[in-house]
Amino acid sequence: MVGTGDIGLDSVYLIILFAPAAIGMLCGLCGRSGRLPGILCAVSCVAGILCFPFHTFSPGLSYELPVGSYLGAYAVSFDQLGSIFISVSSVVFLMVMTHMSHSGHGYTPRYSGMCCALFLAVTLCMCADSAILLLLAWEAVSMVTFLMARTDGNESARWRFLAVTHIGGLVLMAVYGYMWAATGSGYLHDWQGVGGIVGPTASVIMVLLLFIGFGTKLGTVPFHAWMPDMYAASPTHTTVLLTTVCSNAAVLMLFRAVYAYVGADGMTDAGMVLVVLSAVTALWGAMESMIQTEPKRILAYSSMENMALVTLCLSLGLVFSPSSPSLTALVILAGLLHALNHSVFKSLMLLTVDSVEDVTGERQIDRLGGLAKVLPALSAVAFVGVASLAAIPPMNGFISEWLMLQSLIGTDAIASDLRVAMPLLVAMMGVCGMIVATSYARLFGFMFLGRPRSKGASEPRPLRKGSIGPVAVLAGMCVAMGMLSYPLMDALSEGACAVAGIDASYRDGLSGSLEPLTLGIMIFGTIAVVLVASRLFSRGRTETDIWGCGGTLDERMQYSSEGFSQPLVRVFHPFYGDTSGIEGGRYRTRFQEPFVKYIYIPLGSILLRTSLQVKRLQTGNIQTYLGYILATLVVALMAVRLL
Amino acid sequence: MIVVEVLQAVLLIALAPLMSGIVSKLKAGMQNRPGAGVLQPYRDLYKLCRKGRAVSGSCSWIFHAVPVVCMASMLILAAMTPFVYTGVLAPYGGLVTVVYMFTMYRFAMVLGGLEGGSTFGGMGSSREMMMSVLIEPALLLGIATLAVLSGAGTDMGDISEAIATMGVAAVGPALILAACSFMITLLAENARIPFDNPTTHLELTMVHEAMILEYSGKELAMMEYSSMLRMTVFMAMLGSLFLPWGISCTGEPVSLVVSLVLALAKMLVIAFAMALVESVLCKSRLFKVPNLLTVSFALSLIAMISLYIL
Amino acid sequence: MISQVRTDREGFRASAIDLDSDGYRLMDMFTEEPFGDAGAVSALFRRGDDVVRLWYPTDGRGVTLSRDIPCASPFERRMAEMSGITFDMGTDPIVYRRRGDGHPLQKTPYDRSTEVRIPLKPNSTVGDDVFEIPVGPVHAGIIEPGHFRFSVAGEPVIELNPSLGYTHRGIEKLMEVPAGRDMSRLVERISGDTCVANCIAYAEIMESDTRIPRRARIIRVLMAEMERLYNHIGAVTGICTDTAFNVPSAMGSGIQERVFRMNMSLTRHRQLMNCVVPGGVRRDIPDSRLRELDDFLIRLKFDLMDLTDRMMDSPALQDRLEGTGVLTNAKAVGIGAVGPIARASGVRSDVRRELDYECYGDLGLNLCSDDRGDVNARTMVRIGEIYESINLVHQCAEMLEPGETRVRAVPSDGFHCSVVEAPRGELVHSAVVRDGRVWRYSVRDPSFVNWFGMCHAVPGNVVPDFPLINKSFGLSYAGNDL
Repeated sequence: MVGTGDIGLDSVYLIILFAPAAIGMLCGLCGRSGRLPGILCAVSCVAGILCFPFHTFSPGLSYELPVGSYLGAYAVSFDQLGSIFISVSSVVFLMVMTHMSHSGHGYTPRYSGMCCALFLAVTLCMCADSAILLLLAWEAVSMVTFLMARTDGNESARWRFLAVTHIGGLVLMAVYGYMWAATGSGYLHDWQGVGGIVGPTASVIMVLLLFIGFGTKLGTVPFHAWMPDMYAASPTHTTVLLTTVCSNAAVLMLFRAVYAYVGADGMTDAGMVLVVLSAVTALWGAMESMIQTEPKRILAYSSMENMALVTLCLSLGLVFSPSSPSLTALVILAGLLHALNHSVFKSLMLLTVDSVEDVTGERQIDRLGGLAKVLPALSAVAFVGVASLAAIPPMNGFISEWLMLQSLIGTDAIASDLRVAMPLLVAMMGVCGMIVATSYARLFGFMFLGRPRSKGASEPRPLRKGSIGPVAVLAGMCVAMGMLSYPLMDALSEGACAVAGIDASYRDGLSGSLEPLTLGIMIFGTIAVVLVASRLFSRGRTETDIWGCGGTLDERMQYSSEGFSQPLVRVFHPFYGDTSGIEGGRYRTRFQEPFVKYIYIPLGSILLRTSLQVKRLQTGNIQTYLGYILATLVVALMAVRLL
Repeated sequence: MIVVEVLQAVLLIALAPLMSGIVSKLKAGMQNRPGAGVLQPYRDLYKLCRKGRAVSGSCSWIFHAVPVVCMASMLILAAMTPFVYTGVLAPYGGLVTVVYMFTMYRFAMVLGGLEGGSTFGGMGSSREMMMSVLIEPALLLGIATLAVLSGAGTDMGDISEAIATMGVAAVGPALILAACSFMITLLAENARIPFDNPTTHLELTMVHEAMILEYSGKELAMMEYSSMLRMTVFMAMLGSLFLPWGISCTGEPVSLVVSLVLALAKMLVIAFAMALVESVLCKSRLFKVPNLLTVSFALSLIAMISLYIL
Repeated sequence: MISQVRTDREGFRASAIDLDSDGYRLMDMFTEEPFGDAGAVSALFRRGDDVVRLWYPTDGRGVTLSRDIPCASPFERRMAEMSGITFDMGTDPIVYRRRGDGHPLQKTPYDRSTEVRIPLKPNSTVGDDVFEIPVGPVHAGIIEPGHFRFSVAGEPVIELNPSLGYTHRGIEKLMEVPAGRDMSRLVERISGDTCVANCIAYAEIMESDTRIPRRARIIRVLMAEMERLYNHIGAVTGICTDTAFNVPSAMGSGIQERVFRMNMSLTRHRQLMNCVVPGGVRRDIPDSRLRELDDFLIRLKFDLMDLTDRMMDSPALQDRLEGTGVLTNAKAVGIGAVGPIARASGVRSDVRRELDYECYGDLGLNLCSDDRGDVNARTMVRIGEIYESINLVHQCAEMLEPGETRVRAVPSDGFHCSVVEAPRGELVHSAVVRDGRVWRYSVRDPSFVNWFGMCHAVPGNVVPDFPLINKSFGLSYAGNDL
């Protein structure tokens, strides 16, 4: 441990990591130029990227601010898991910042300053070692994203976000406060094994509350209602940061809290409950993403699905933990890796969507189309993105899904009776995987393929210079994290096992072998060979029109996105509650989300009814209020007397 | 042994059009028609390869990439599947990867359908996705059943070997149910009756054919060949995973010859079963297809659960 | 039993409504040119064997009936398109779809070079997720050209609009020749698979009051039933083919082929062309062929039983057919549907029983009908009629007595009309002969009215069921376009 005031390489690193972003934040908040905070933030991001290399070079980096507060010290410490998360998140952050500076949205200096603040907050969330710092950073994440979500349009989404995320924040504060009280230490490294102190019942409750608390951020049902609106309404770069780095931080905090602090022992039943909740969320997210017509909404629901897969893995870890450490290590690895992968491919897709909106001016996928012809480079990187999202080998999304399935198929090794439920989870993964594949095929197909469906799509503005670079880097990462996943997996698993105190290798949990590099080379090699072979026998090529059965096709004669998903909507009709018909001369389909119909609306009406009844007490008459006070006093006095 | 592995992959790749021809021939026989010769698919592919292509002006690079990706994914699958010998050329990732390679193929096809820009491509893509949402879990569960039943992990060669050495002991409800489910999946994946009609000329009822409607010439040949290879790979998987007895585990010449004869016989039996199903059933109503697929899904689920409770 | 009523423009509408409410059904409407003194608009109504021609002289302006009698709409559209007569509603093109100076049926020379194609009207359904599927006129299979435009938002069809007119040949104009000339070769080509029925209708007009030998009449009925036989077998086979029910489909094709070969041996033409002429039949059937026919019919019946049993025993097929493409009884009556389509929707009407033309009055005939109006009902009605046709052919063959088969027929001046039950339903030919010349010849194919039945039956069904519904209606494109 590096002590306070010890000037060394570690301190220099920490200064490079935090100081530029902090200065950038201040500059941005009071300055006029947006460039300076951006550059400073980029410097911090580069330092963040180097976090994992630096950690391998000099492990055990930690620092405590010399000035403490009334509530305890401000300490940070970097472990292997945290540094991997910081590195990956920083790459994403850097790419988002780079893209932002070339996006032409004309962000204000304050926005850039808030990006710096968000970087600070998220990084601190991942490396905080004291409870007070962690809670402050977590609150800062919520507040900064709330401020960054400001748009001229629909404001209700971000207020709803603020409300839901603060409900979650309060739950978390209660749990962290309880653990703080139970251990009597403000340092997180002292919380190891707090579950043993508070007893099994309290542990179970704490774990459930932790999942719910972080679930509000990750969009677990039924706390997901803010997500799509917020994602769609905010500036795209806010959405990217919210769904990638903030989610990463939440996953990491959740993992640490559950596995390191509370401990996974005796959580089988609670784990199973959480598995069910996560599975429902994943299915629901997948199904909803398929019927959305705005690209950002599609991706918002897909985030919900992906994060649900992560929580599914983390809760499965609780189920597996008593019987098989290696399987636990495997499933945890799958979850954490998926979180990292998700942050890469989701930022790639959102940035692509932003570029598409920028060049076409259209926000509905039904008004896009044919962009692959005019923007081949963008379509190529987007293709990599959807391939990763749809878990096509050898992309990174495939690797994490492969690990998840391996852990589910390997459950033969666990003794619990709950293993009978595993086939259902395999099926869930299959359904989910194919629905999201449908959703991404739809997203990509309607944005880039076919014929243009609007003027904006047929004559797009040229792509902004430099906006393709960051997405290309992210696309490269999708491929690289897929094909070179073993080193990453090893490091990640080592870090995770160290945090969770698991003494096993995830490789023992695998029931099959995977060589992503060979597989990747083989896939790309075969494609290349087939391509070359097909070019060799090239014959004449005639330019024609699309087959229109003897007529010409007009712009109405192409599949619509809702038409594309309609067969599946019909298959899953009870869940969608869709009704269609002619309304005011236009044919339209309406969806009624069951969560809204059966939870939010009844809850709202009960609250309203109760309030109305309570309202009767409020007569506005001073004598009545005095009467209430008197009655309360009498009751209170009698209660005291009786006790 | 690498020679044997290469040879069996090449054999599978070379046999694909023949298998398609045999199924057509058997179907023709059941309809009292002489039908085209079993080598007709080879001739068709040759003819398509020699033809020029008609390409719409609105097509982008994706349009030309799709046949390449489809064909490549199926070639890799052929190299992953044990056919006469339990060792395979590309064991990377086992059965789970196999499922995702099928997804890759389907994903490419669907994008190709959407790229076409007509309504038919979108129609085919949309229907294909509806079916695959229900096919994929059945496939995954069938595979998980095999992995758990054999206790040999998810590598196809290992499973094949394990079940083959288990002998008759492996024949239990799990294997039978999973095999039935796999057979339904085979029909659904390969656009056979009752899920789709491979020989229809009615654009509005097509699923698979609608997606490749815009392709012509060599690219159409690649798409057609990929779907033939997909069927053959499925048949080989059914033969060597669910009925693996007789497959060569050692790679000795004698066992290889026996295994080859048996494998071809199994393929013929499966082809006959396919032709029979296609002759007694008619194409199902589009929204009755999910019910049928749910049956397949339920069968594989029961198969897997029966492993745990029986 | 043809009565003619002349009204004026004002009285026409009231008289038509009276007839309609008396249970008369509008069969056809046509014009006579030139407008002015000699021009007229006629409407043909029928109730049982009572045919009424209601007509009024016109100067080029028509009286719109379609507000009160909806099934008049297609006739008015056709008249507006072909004769340039004006109506105050519903004059979209229906059979020709080209517009030039003048109109195709005018008596003065008509210059086709000025014609332009009328663009198709877009469907009326709109919505964000609604799109149109255009199919045809070039199809993947060998079928007649027709363009269909579906409005859908996924699979269920919201709206369907067919537009035909790709095979318009100007038959009605070509028929305006001196009355003595035999135009049966042209009439046979109105719709190739309905050549006997068309020829019988044409012959009945041209024969006016001529007495036709009984043997010729029986042979004509025999031909008509053989024609119905191969048409219905083809339609039933088509149902199997479209549902990919392969084995019965192959069986059906085989059976149909055998009927064709029997036709060949009876008349030297597989589809019975070149057989019926005004005045009788061109060729007699020798007795040896009749015995062959007898054996053939017995075997045919067994084979058909095998086929239909397979179809009815297959739950998979029944599932496809039942409830698909329902044409309700009210709709069928409303559009004035005819033939097996109408009978499958509970309209118990068959020209062969109502008008004893040729020798149908001497034959026993059961009427096959069904009330459900779906694809299955239409298939069942056709299957029933196949067996009835076999029965009728048997009866005809037994009734044949030696005698002559052709006399000379001369048409008289005036209005003539004949109504025949073609395989697709009621077929109406009518002609006005003036000064020994066919002044106006009008053909109303059963498909012309039944097409509207399909437009009503398809919406609400999913797109992949359309080919099946289309096949169950089994309509003629050429007959519609003329």
